[in-house]
Amino acid sequence: MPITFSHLNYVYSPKTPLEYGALKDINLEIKDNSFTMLVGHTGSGKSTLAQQINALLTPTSGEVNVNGIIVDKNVKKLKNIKELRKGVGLVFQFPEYQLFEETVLKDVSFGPKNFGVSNEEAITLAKEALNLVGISEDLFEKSPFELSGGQKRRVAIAGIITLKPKVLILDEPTAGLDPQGSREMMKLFSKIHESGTTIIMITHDMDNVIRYASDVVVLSKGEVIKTCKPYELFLDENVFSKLSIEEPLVITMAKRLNQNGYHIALEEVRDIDSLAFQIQKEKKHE
Amino acid sequence: MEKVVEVSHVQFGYTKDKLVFNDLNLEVYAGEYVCLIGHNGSGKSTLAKLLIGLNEIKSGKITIFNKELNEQNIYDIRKDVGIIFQNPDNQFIGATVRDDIAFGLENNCVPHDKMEEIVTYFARKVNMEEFLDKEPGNLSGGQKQRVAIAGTLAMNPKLLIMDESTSMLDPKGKREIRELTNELRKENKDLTIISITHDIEEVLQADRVIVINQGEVLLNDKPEVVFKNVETLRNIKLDIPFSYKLNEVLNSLGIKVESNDFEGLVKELCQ
Repeated sequence: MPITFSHLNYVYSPKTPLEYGALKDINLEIKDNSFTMLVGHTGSGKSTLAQQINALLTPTSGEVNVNGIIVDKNVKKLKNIKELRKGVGLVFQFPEYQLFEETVLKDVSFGPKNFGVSNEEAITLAKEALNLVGISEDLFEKSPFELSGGQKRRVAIAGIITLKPKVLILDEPTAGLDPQGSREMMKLFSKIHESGTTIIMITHDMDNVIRYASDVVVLSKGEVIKTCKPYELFLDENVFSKLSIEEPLVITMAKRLNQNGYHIALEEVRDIDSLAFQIQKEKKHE
Repeated sequence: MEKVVEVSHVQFGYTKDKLVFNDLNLEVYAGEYVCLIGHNGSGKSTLAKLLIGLNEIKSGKITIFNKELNEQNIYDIRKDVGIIFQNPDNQFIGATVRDDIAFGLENNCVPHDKMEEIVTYFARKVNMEEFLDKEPGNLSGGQKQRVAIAGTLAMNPKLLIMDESTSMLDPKGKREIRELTNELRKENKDLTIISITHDIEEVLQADRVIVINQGEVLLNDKPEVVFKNVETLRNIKLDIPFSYKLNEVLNSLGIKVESNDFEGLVKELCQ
């Protein structure tokens, strides 16, 4: 079931001098099994929007419908909020700061235990999740604080996916990683997505957007100003430069070549390999 | 050319049994823009800390502006060296942008009028003049780093060290800092910049690239020479710039191209 926002407004610190309308009349559908990326300026409301989906923040007015569970301003009375959070995993920015247990395995099995799973089963789930994120068995009994930055982040993500959420929300999951670490992380999410999970990712990295996203939602000043396919972001220079989005170099190259007589379909350009393939196709036509 | 930094036979380790550097040697000359690259744990940031004397070397010698880095000289040397760190949130002291840029000047007892003038000048230089009375905490990452740079420049350093100062910024923030760096160099030909970075597109603009791996200098040359070593760089898990990668992939598909830069490739492909 898709996630549907209707007429959702969210105000921080209402009725105080600091009152701030962070989301304004959001109407949006996030498709089931999509890899949806949220883009926009710092402060545009991306993180606020994402946190409505598992009711960490609840709407000031309007609602969001997640797998049939309706989150609105009365959600605190809702009994199935636990059910909702089981189905929607949220990974914050720099999730490695949230590690706390003595060992990697204990940290990862904390989530399922909290949801009432038996100790034994929680450990089995934790091992599966660690295996999926690429943490080898010899690290299971280590303190999470002894691991490298990239490993820590994998462990933190494993902690979220132990419950096999149907929807996984990721807030800038590659920020601060080196290029290699960032690529590996994206491959991991792609794998999780292919296993049938809806992924909602907040990102500034347009290379990742055109490479992995199925859909893009653009936010500006608390409003959804565009929902589109990744390549469509870069069709109108006025739009993306105003949003301070950087055009990926593969797209810039394809456009330059098109200005000089090529006919490359931008939707086919997702990375260097696919760009080169399109160039090869054009060359054959000559 | 005048040597700004000379690192010779430096040995250093955080713990007794594990060395980060065994025998590190490198030189940086006046007015140069040098990028240091290497994957996580290669020793890049450790080097930055050694250069400003935050950690003490075990043996060998570091000379900066012809002065040996030691307890007697360290404060003297630091007057000429500015450093910008990675996390924009960890380097603010002032309650407003103005106070923050002025912090170093205050410590140096610069008269108030003069201070006002310097602060405004550098705030304008980094394009943050309209934010002078704003709280640093509410700025974007790119804006924060620009304020940090202004505060450092206000101290008139001759050597500017940037320790992954754009790695936590979004692409726009990265570009802003890249452009600012270029402007600074144009205006002040004597300013020496050492930038420790993961941003491979920034590296293309440097005069020289030093690749560090396992505490040793692996490659040390102009960017166009360094990036010819595609295999070596891949083996140590470093990124290759876009145009070099595209060149490689095109050639592997049988499309012969020579250029390793964006415009060159456009030209060749459109012939």
